[in-house]
Amino acid sequence: MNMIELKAVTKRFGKATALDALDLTVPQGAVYALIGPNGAGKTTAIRHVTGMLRPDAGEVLLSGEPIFENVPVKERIYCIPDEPWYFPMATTRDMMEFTGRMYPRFDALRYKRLRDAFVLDENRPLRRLSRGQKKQAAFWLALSARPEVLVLDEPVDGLDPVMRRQVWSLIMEDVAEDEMTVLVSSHNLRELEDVCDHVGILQKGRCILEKSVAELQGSTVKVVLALPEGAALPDGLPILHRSEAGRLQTLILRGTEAEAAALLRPAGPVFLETQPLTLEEIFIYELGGVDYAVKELLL
Amino acid sequence: MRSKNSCFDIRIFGNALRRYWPVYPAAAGVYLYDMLTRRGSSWYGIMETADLSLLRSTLSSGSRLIFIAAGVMAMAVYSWLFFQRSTAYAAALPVRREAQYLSHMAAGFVLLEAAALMALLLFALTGGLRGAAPAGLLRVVAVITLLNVLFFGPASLCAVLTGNILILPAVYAVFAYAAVALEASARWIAQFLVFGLSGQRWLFTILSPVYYLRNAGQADFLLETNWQEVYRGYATSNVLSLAAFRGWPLLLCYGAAGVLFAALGTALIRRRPMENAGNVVALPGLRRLFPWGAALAGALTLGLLTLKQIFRFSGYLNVTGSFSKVMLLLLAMILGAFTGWFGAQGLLRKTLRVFDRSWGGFAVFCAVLCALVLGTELDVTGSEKRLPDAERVASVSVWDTYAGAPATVFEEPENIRSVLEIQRHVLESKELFENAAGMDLSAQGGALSLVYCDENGRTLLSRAYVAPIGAMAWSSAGNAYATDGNAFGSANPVLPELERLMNTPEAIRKRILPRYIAVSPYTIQAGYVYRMEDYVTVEDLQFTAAETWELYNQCVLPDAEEGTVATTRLCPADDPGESRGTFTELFIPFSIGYGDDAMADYIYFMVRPEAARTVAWLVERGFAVTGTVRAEPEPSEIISESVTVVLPGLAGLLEKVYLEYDPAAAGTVGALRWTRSMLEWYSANGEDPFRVYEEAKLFARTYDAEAGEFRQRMEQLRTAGIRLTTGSAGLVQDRGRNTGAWTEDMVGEVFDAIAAGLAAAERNDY
Repeated sequence: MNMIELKAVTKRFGKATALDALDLTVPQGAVYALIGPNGAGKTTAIRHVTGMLRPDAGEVLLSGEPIFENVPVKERIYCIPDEPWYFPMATTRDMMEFTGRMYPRFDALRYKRLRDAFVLDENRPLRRLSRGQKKQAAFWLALSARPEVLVLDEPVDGLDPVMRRQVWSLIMEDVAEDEMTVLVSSHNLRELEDVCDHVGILQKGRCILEKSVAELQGSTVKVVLALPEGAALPDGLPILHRSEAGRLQTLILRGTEAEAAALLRPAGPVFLETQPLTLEEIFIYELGGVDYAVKELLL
Repeated sequence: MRSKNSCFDIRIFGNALRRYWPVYPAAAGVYLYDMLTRRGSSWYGIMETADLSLLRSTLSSGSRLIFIAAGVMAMAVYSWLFFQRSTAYAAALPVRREAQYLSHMAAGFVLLEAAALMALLLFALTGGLRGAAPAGLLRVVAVITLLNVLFFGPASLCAVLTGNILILPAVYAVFAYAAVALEASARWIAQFLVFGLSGQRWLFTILSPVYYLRNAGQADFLLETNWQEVYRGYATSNVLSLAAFRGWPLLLCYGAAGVLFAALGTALIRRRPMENAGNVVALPGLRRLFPWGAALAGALTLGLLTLKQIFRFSGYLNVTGSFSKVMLLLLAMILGAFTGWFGAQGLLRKTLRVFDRSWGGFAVFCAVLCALVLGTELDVTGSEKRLPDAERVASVSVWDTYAGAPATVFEEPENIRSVLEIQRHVLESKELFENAAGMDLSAQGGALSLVYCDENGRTLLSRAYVAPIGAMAWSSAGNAYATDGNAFGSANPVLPELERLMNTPEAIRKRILPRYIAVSPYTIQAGYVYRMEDYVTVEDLQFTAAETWELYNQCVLPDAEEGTVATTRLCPADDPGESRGTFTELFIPFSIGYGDDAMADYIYFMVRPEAARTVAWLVERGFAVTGTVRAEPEPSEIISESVTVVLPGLAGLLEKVYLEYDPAAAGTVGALRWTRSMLEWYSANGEDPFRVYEEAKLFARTYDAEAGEFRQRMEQLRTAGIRLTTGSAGLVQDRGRNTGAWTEDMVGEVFDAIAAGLAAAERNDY
């Protein structure tokens, strides 16, 4: 069942098109990583999902219902932006009380239980806390609100490694137990790789790729091989990227490991090894295919 | 109450009250301070009951405080609309935007109300409400509530229109003052461009309530005082409690307008793209209008500055603009429009690189501006030359500064046609007037004011022209505007006609009859004749009521029948001596009734040698030139720098006269020169006549009665006032001459105020 759907969503800011007929589908219970280069439209997409922005065209749906200005739907969504905002002078407790009144599923008991997980003085004004501590407070409130959909924009920036792991652990617990859906936008692909099960790659306001991680990793393979002298690669290989170091060649190919081996075997390689791609590699090579390759500059 | 589709959310409302409550005690403190500083103050020297005094101050100074408090409150409660992060947070909350907006609005309004009520409560604890009528207090609370609605509604709307918290006060101020600013600018520029345009009624100031309530003296208008009741009540209780509040219709309309603006804000909040938080203009539609508005504001501002600072144009009775001046004005307006247009582009695009585009719109604006200015200057619509249909004119009021006040109202058809003919001749001489750039109005020129009315008293046309009919204009030596050949030449069409008109039987009859009281042996109070030479009284004589009745009945009336007394001379050939302030004048005061029903009036007119009976009667009683006089110093010498603190307006005039004017050195005409020079002095210091009027009223109403300094000053003013108001050619009689820019109502109000203040001083009750 699809929890979040963006159907042909277009958003323009003046003459700039931030989202260009964007289609996106986040299944229920998924941890969906929204990735893309700077200016691809990730934050704009997230702001549509949280109901802040109204699309110029298209639909933004939660369980099939429009999100914008739909109070019952928005009660199911909680968002942590890259820099959380709090009322001036408010403490964590103040914000907890306000959040408790605004979100019907807010769990005061859980808030108390999470007090041990987050090392914060809840009576201290939030403006006096460090950036990381403010982020902790945001997660504390978010997890206490028990949303059905948690939207995160650069969620763990500012958190120390221990707290990052702690936070992700708590989130994954909710995903496992409550089937909470998580839509997360981040540039930290190494971290996302550990937690996400779905990926959507945005480029220039459009979604150029949307798959489950397993599917993605199964459909692209990295091959390291050495061919006999004078031998050439067979024609028609689905190569995404190729590099050479002496006789050793590294190829990124579309397809499974078996398919890649079968395609290369006629060339008689003296050495052939296949490896799964990391999320970061997929990101880089996929965007390389749409003119966003790493430029080899000589300075 | 849970918010699903509701337009109100109690959770947001409560949160807003908790978050923004600090504004409330701050506002309460300011309100209280204002109440305490006005506590026990009198109005025109009359003590009022606490509730009446409070109502009066609420309408005047209180309205301004509420205006400011509403703006500050809007900045506080809608602060979430102006920052990307807070806007994003609010927009993500499961509450409809209308509900958030209205809940914050309700919180802001409650805090404003609470501040006012708290101030009232604290004021009561200090004893400030002692003796106040409960119904009167409820009336004050109702007025405060309506003012809160009036000002907080537009403030809320402004918060939707802009996305920048620093711009909000500016937008709010523009919103509040736009009507009066636009009208004032348009009037000034129109008066500069349209020959003779003057005296138009202010039509749109009512749309700027903060200005209307505070500056236009509307407390008097809204609280109508019956003076007879005042004195009757004052005699028994020493406290004024009788004043009819006429302000409900106006305030209810204002309140409805406030609700309307709030509703408009609610309708627009949903359309306000939240990503525009931080932008100067938050609504996409307004972004297109903003440069046009800014260009208009820039054009008017620089246009006005040019008029005031370069042309020294003060709006009324000034020489209107020659074509070269108009072109300079147009250039300044285009420069102002340029600044406004591209300034707006810079604010919208957040860059100084704005000259790469949008020239097309600016060119269109300039084309329209040029068409309007040049079209008006060239009188495309024919409004300059428009004359009323003689058949429709029932009366015409003619007032020229040299003939003196009051204006003569002609009702006979033949005279009305003469006035129209005179105006036609003035219009034909337009070029001469417009080129009289260096004319000194006080010395060389005068004003010819014409007001045509129909049989219902409605004004058909009002025009005023600067004319070289003043004293200096009679001499040709070094004077380009002289009437003996240099400027008009011997064929000057205006002066002879005007002189003939002012000496018609109808004019003379009106000059020798008081306006409000019938002439009888019982109404004449006394008589006073004086002879001036070079503006100095060289001889005077007083008569009893019986003597004056004899003079009036047996000499003045027959002479008037023959057209030899109370005549006016405008042409130099007739009597060059008058141009140098040499003449004989007869002043006769009248009164009728006693106590509360007493009414006073007066007449004064010139006595010339041809008035045989009148002159003979005076000579018989020994009226002749005697004694010697000292030379009166020039006004420029009299305006010394020794006075460091000048009271505002006419009170300031009176005080300065008292402090520096030597009555032994000069006569009452000298006093007139004094006041005229003082008015010019005020104008030269950036004060226009309307401003002087406002300040005079403010002084008369609000000066602290308990201050010892005030007592002393009032005593001084009383002396000066008596000197100027009871003399034979005193200030009151020449009110029209010295306050030419004021309407009749304004003049009456100021003089009533001064008279009331003087009366209070005479009784030693402040």
